[in-house]
Amino acid sequence: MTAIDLLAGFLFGFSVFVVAYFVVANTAYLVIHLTALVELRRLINKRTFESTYQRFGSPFLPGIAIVVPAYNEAPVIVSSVQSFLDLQYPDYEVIVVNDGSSDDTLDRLVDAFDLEAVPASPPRELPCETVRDVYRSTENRKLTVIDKENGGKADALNAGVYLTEKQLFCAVDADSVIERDALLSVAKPFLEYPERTVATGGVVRVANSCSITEGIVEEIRLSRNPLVGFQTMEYLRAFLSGRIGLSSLKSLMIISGAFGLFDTRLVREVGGYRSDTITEDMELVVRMHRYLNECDQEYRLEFVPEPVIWTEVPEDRTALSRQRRRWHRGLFQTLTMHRKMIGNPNYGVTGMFALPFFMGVEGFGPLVEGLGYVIVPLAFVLGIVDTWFFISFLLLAILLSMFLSWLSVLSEVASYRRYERPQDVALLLGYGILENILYRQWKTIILWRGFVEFLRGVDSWGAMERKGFDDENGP
Amino acid sequence: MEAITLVVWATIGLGSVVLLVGTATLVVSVRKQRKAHHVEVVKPVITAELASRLDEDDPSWNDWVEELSPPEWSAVRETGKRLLPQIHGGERTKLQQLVYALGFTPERLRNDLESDNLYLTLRALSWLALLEYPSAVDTALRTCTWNQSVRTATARVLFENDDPRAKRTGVDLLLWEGREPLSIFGLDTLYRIVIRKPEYLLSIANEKHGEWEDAVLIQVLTVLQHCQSGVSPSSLTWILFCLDHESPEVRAAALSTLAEYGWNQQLRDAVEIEDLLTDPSPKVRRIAYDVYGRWNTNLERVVTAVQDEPDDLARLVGVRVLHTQGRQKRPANSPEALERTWRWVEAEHTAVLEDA
Repeated sequence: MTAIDLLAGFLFGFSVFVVAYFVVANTAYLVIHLTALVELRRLINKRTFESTYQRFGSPFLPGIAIVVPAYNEAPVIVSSVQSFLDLQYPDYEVIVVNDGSSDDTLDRLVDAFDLEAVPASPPRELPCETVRDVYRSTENRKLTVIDKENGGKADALNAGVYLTEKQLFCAVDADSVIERDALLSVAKPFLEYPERTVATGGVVRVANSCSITEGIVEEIRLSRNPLVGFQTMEYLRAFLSGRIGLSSLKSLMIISGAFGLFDTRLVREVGGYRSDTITEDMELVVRMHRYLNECDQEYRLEFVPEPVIWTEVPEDRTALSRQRRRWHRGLFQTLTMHRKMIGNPNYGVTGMFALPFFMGVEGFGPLVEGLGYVIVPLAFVLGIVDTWFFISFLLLAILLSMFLSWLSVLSEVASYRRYERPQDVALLLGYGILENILYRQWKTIILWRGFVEFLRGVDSWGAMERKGFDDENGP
Repeated sequence: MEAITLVVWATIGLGSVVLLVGTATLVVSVRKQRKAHHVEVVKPVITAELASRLDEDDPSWNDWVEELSPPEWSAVRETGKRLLPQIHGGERTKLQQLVYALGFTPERLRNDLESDNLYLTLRALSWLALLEYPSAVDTALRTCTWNQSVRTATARVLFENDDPRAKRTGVDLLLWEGREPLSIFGLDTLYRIVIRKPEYLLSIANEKHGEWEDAVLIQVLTVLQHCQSGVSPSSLTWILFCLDHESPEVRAAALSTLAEYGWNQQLRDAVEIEDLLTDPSPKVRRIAYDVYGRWNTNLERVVTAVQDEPDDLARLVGVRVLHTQGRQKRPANSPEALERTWRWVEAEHTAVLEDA
């Protein structure tokens, strides 16, 4: 057997593997997306009835602490905190944790909210880097600011989680704006199943191009920047299809760090956020699954598609590449940390479906796809793969990707309709086609880089340049 | 069939489906935008018309409803449902007549209540809570017991309708077999029902608390914390047994409940509060500090307990109790943890005084 024969055999074998992998991965995606459609229908149906009670007059609603880690967020911090202070919920506080910012994040907060330092250290040793001061707002007693040495996002979150005395805490990103009734909506599972619900997450939407004044999203517009548009499409797919489907299959492994509500006691019981992880949000959720399964406890971890938090996404490829590489490294890191659970029936659906899905499809999927982009065309050029088969398969792959994206847009239009204008919807559909050309291929290269960085043990976070919301940009 | 043929046909099939999804998305988007725009335009007009008709002796709802377009009909229904819980007296009666004219008749609600569709039933029950249809309430009591959320909504209907059956049947519907914990809506409903007349709840709790799931027992104890009148101390003696319960959550809830009735010396004497200050569970100790502070003037026992308190939150509660009761001098030679907590509570106290 010659080297050429060996190469041909390898290329053919790999092409068959790619096709088989494609079938398995897309079947999993289809199941999740179709489950999401059924669940969405149920949720829309459920939305048509409201329990007849005045939630604000009820003494039983759990108290919530909104914990906001902030590192160099000066351009957006005042607007964001204002939006957090204006939420509609009867019992909540806002704890901003200034994580050793080198810009004037703290000064802006002090000026805007009349902060005064509390002349005492926190009442307990907080499991985080040294706390310099705790501030309370004299104009709004709901606001507390912890100023601490830099220790990373997880470390900052822990400061708030261990300081609060509220039953629940909501982790939100400082560069985000929450819709006014979002806290009440994201808490709904806690109100329906107070004894079982341990965490819930809401939808993160793209704020770029939206008009935001005093912490309120006044006008929702879809960005004309293709990079932002592609991300908007991805967020829609991830939240309105992926997470609804996974939540309904009891396989929700990620509650976005930008907007998640947790049982404070339980998070402390499992040890809080881990500072040695890159994607602390996913790691915490997987650890909670692990702990609760090991305790043989019944629990609910739910995604709620109605409450929305608006956030800025990267507008240039460098920042986006950094973010996605970090997410991919974090995914593999979390899977490695909890590898004991993967395929282990003792962990129920989490062990037998959710984690294998995240490893096989979300983790290795883009890597296989990336290899496919190199090897399958090579096999085609060398005549190992039939021309019509190659063209049809390529078209099929693109159509399937479009199908999943467009299903998410249809779900959006039929349900929550944040993008009201038909021209925005048409543009979204367009992004659903265009993302398959170059953007998707570029992303596989980025995720390969992320994987290599994971193997090399890179654990940096990288920074994102904040533009700030409309009213903070000035005229 | 060859693989290539399969792939080609799959591509053609999927292509058609994708086209269909895209077209449907655009059509739905355009239609919804038109409808939303129409509702936006008609809503102020409809609301003004509704308000003006409410002022009239005879609003002639039937004639008005017949002229409404579908978006107008939806706007009227939404406005009616929003206003009904907020208004009383004659205007409420007129609004109920409007809801009747919109088609939400007792017959229709009865049909929906008998349906096995969860959300249809819940929607009917949420309307029924706002209307006065005794015959439909009877149907609800007969048919709506097959699911906990349905039972909860039925109990709410009894409460909202001032139905005398609320205080017994309502409580029975909510607690059912004592297996499933209530939602916050259920908890709120139980609270509203028993707040003035808790006798029945107390009597069944006395009888059945041992059979209930811990979560249900905790919820009942939580509700009883908010009942302010009509409770005789003798009806609470079963709660004293809960102080020895194996679950710390139950012990803590029991103590919190008893704290609310501490005005009764007999009950207070029956609680070994000093023992509870050394309960193995920090949850119980947190409540015990608070209760001890409320019931005793001599706080030396709390001072001693907080010195060795290992739980941060319990220590914080203990120190707050001392401060609230006027004990502002820090104990000499306190451990660092207590010093730290003390300074924090002092700062809190100063801030509160400044606010006042």
